[in-house]
Amino acid sequence: MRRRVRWILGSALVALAATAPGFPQGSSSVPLTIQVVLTKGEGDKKVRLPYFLTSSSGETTSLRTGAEVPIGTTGPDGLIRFTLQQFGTQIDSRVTASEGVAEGRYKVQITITKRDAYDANSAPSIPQGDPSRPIFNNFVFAGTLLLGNGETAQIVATDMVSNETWRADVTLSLKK
Amino acid sequence: MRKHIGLILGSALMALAFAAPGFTQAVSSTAKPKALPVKVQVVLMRGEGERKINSPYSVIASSAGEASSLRIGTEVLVGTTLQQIGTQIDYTVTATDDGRFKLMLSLKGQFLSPEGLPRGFTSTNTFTFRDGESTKFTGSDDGGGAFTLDVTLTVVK
Repeated sequence: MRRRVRWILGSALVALAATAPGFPQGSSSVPLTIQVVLTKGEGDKKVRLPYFLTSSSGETTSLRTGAEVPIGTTGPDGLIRFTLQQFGTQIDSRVTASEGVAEGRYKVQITITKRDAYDANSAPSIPQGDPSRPIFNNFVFAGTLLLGNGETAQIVATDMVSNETWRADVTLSLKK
Repeated sequence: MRKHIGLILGSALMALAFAAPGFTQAVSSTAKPKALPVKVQVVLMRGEGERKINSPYSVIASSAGEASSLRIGTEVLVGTTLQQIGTQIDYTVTATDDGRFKLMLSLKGQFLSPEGLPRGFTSTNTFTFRDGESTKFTGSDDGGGAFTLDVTLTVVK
């Protein structure tokens, strides 16, 4: 009798576990591409930087371009200290097919970081101090997008120093 | 033996049926609406003398209440120290049961006055919007200058 109860309970638990939302289902992983196009400025001064990340739903993908550069700062004691600072582009994304999302759409969790040395021509009024020390400007977006196949989400921001506009266009494409 | 197998199969089927997405769960009366993509547009308007400056921002959110953020700025040397001049936007959009959207928006702006001095403001608000609605409000920065924020929420079709 005890053995029978154990069998019944065991079967029920296996069936529950297999249908739980966190259990990896056989058809859940979809190959896809995330395209991020960063555009800075407008008109003749426009700079357009495209990036492609190939992944599968449920997996985290990262892309890094750029370098770490030593930046020297003079301390109160007059000594120069160097710290490593990252510049370039960093993109981290994770695409999931989520039950709580409208049908046909995927949840795209994305962080886009663009860190550049300041272009003196774009805003000559900025006080630059030590000309040997580069000044950085930053664009960072971290958020959740809900995208269908082929859809694009656009993020727009204005740099209040140079009054330049930054745009990030994020497109999701499922692979056939 | 047959009874034994029948019992096992029966239990497994019942468990599957209860866990199936289509099965009416006890919590269905409080079930949340499906998350929708929402666009939040913010236009910051500030005046510097005769000059009016418009700074537009546009971000996308999920209406499931997930926190998102946007940072844009430049490190500027003020005196002998480097200061981050720019905009920080933190926001969360949550769909309400009556088809509206609750937007929690925090906007921090740091900019340079015409004299090269850093000025700033922080605005933290919660708005309730219908699709396509907008609101406008005015405040003043820590240097006494006025700024206006124009906020619009749109569901992305």
